Amino acid sequence: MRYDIQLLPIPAFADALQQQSVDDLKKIAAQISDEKNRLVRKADLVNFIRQQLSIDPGRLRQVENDPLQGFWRKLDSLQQAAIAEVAHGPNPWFDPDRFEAKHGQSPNWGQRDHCYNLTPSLLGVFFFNGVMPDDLRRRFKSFAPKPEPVRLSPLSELPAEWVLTDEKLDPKTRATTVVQKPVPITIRLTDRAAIHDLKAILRLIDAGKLAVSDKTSQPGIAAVRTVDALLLGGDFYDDSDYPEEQKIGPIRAFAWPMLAQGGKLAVLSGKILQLTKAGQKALTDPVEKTLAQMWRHWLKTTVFDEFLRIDLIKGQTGKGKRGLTAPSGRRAALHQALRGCPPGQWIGVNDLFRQMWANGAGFEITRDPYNLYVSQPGYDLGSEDYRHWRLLQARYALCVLFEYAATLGLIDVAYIPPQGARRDYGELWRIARWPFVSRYDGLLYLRVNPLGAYCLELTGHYQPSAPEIASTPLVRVLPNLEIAAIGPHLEPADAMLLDSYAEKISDAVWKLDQDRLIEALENGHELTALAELLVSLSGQPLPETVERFLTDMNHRARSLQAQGTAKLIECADAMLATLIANDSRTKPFCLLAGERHLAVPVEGETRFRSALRKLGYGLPR
Amino acid sequence: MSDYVPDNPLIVQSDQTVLLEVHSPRSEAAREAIVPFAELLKSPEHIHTYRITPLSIWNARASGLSTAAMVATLREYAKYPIPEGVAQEIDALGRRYGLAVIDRAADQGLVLWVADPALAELLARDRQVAPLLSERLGDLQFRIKLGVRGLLKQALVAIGYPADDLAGYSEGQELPLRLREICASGGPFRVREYQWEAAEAFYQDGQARGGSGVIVLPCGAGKTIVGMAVMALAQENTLILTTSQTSMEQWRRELLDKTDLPADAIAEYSGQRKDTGAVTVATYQMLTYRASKDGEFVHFGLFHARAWGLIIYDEVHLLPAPVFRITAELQSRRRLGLTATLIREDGLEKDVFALIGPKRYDAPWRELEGQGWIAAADCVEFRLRQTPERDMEYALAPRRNQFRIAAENPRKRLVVKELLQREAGHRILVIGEYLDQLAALATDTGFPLLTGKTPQLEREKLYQAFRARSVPGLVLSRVGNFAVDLPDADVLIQVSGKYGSRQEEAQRLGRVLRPKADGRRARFYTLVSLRTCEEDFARHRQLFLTEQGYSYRIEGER
Repeated sequence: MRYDIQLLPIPAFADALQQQSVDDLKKIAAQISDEKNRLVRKADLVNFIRQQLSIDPGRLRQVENDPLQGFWRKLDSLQQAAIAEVAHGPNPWFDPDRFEAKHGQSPNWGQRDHCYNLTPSLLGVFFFNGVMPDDLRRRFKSFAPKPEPVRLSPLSELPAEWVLTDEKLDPKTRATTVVQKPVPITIRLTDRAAIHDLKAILRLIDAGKLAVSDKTSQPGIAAVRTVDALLLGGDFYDDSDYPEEQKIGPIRAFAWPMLAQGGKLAVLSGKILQLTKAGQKALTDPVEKTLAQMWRHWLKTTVFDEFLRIDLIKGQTGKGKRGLTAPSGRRAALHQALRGCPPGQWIGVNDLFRQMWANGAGFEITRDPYNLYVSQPGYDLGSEDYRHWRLLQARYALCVLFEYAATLGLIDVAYIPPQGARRDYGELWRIARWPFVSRYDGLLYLRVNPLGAYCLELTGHYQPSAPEIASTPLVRVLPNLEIAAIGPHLEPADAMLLDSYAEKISDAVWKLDQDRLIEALENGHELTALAELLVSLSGQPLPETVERFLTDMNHRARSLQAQGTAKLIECADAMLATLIANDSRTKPFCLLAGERHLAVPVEGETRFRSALRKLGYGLPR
Repeated sequence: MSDYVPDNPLIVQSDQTVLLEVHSPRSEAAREAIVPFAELLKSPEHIHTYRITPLSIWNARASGLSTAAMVATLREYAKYPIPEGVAQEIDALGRRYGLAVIDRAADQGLVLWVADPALAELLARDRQVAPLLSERLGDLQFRIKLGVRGLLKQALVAIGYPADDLAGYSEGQELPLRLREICASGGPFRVREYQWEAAEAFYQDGQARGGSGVIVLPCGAGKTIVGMAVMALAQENTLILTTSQTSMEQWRRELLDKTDLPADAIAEYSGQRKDTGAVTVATYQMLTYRASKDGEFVHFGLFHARAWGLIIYDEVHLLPAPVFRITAELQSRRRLGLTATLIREDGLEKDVFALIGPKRYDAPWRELEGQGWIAAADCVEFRLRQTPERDMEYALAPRRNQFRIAAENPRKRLVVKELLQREAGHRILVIGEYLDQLAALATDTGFPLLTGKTPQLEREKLYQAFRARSVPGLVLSRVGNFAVDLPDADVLIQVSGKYGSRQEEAQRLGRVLRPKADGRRARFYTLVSLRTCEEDFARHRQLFLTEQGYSYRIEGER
């Protein structure tokens, strides 16, 4: 709830009338009666209005032929809808965002004069500061038809183009002309890319090659560029040819480092991301499970508020920060909205937003829009007249959907470049000529794909689509432990995996290296990942020598297990060492190490000391 | 990638190596095109690796190939655009060949001609080259000091300006020699086509451009025959240098069997006899013998004992350094190097190029195997457990003794017995490192044992018995590594090896690579103790075999 709007229920219409000025009462009276009355006293006006609306004190129940029905019939359909929404809605007040989301426009509340004084329409008679008195509400509810909930309208087919509309002003004639420009829609199926990219990112992190800011946890330009090079199919937009002011910036390349942290697969160590145990495990776990888990963790993460990505909205890290709502609540609303999307069907994002807000499933970004601004302080977003949900909530939702849900492969997306895609900020003249408010403005449609249905728990299983079989192998695994890249293009992520297990001995050849393999195993890697990659890239089983080599290395690396830290204690002579190592009291806590040394595990040191004392010896600290 | 040509088989890398994808439809043509200027480094299944080196480029230039042709070949067969650095390197190095030419001037003796004044000044001031030059005869000519032709060539290679040696050879004493069509032993004899090609590539009709160089053929491909073919072309007295007494015997036997040389024309210069004849066979060990570390090489006189028209260096990759030195003085003799690999463990390939000559012929073993000239071989490694007691003995032993403990794993004897049963009827060699183990195996198998202590006569007798099939197998120590010609052997069981020696592995495998009359595949078994350093050494050797293209199987723990 916004700090500046404190709406309270009004128990009775009569009470509300008592709060109005005589001028206001006169305006109300004029709306409900055609007769020109000359009443000037407040009490007379109140009585007159009550009589017209048949409101007696204590009359709480509706009756047949309620005169309110007559007034209802006089309202236009949009006004009737406004009455019905409040009468059947959860709150006694009119929610303009919700109403507009559902009906596309606001009802007629009356006219304002040059002094900004409102002369209410008939609809305005029933609301006081947007709140409908409870008694009126009950009476309207008895006859006003219950509004239909908004349902999504899936599309059977996506249009190939999106028509951008813009107005052009002729400076000579001062006439505006509408210009229409068709833009092709790009469709991205994201699940396969997500599966690929996740592995690539995990490998990148595992190789210690992904640095992020230690203050904001966000990737810098270099890191984004590194990630971008790994992404299957690249980022959603390639803005390299765009002029500076039109640059869109990274989306997927930015999202992955954040998702890795928010998904609890990586943590910051200095400025470098390191895999957590879950991250290590994810290297070999089924990818869809990892992605589902990442999404679940992301819904609750505090690593990052996606709203920061709407760069144009300022004040988020300053005074406006305190007023921001918790991102988890916003994400939960979007999660529920996605769960409501029929899998496999394209949904317009505006349709989704309409459904969310119209059905009361929206969310707030801030309780304090006065401390958020565009361009520079002073141009705040607190003005009630401005429908800030389009600027705030919708942009935030687009960001979460486009940057995080689509990057994780939950939704397929259809989009156009953001420039001019959402011209809904024209009222904010400071930014009216800007090409877009957010880089996500171009998102038009989304579709919950099979991976999304799995991650959103709409289905219990996910069958990854069969990987594309390359017509020619990308690598050859040679029996002399070499791997030669012979195909048209080896994915950087695959090359990176090879780098971590094998030594690159020339431009296109790696050699499996004992030291590297053992090091990788020491770091918790599984050689199965390497073996699987080699088989998939070469399209052939591994040569026996390679298979055996990997088995040998695996066996060797697993032959020793670290059991913790021990203290090495030197005894005066071999006899004493043997005595302590074999005495029933000290034996459980120490091991003989050489002739006159004992190894005492640190966690048992206290018990060892106590047992040692019983034996009649002490160990200086 | 727009420049990617999937059907092309070559990937040219910036480190001057070239990968050849053997499954490509154009691989055979590409291989033939690059072999003249690239050395085959390894040839495992799927991908063969070649390296373009200064020597390989100069070798190619020596045989008349232009650098433009080399680069064009790479471009024609490359999957990706070739790194420009490689093309530039080929061009730069290739241009250097022929900038210095050694030739004879009418009355000036040997003269070094250089292409331009700048190079002349460079050489005149170079501290390696300048001492070998006599007076300057002109802007671009130097007289060469007497007896330093080889050293000068060596020095020129070292500074990157290899000389084109057109000075020719001095006439050797005549030796009428004809190759037989029917061997003395009765069988038909015909020099194979590739052997003739190799001999002719070397000899080049007796021109000065030919007559020195190296022939590279795999083990069992008949390098001895190539040597004899060259002798038949040269028709001059020949000195043959080999690696061992057994090899000497083999040369002698082959010469008598396949040429019309009488027995008294072939002399042996060895520990037992120090004869010289029209054809003299000696060992490197004999020639490099000296009484003390600082003493004279008393047998070097052999090089000047006769007017040799041809010197054959068998297994030239093993040529010892002192022989290089004397070879530097023998540049007026025709010099033929024979080897299975030009790669020397001591890195003296440049000296081979400068002093013996460029590579003249190279035939990949796969091709010869395909034509049936060498036998196909399967390599199998058995991993054997040790007993727990022996495991403990191994663990407690000092590191230097561990290898022996692993090598002498008693379970190997059981596996040898199993293999003998499995391979019954085959011609079997058992080779090992340690005499006690070999003696035990000889007892187990009933095969005669040959070690370094076995007298030469006795050895020859046993080899003959094996060839005559009167014994089914032999147990051999390290003496079996080199130049043992046992054409029928088709199974070799290696119970232990000399650590990770790849050289030894190649030689041992070579023992069973002679083509079999019935076309059967050779089998090469290696026994390795599990969880010991033998595994690591075996892997080293295994890599070598796989890089030669042999299929290698590892049978699980026993």
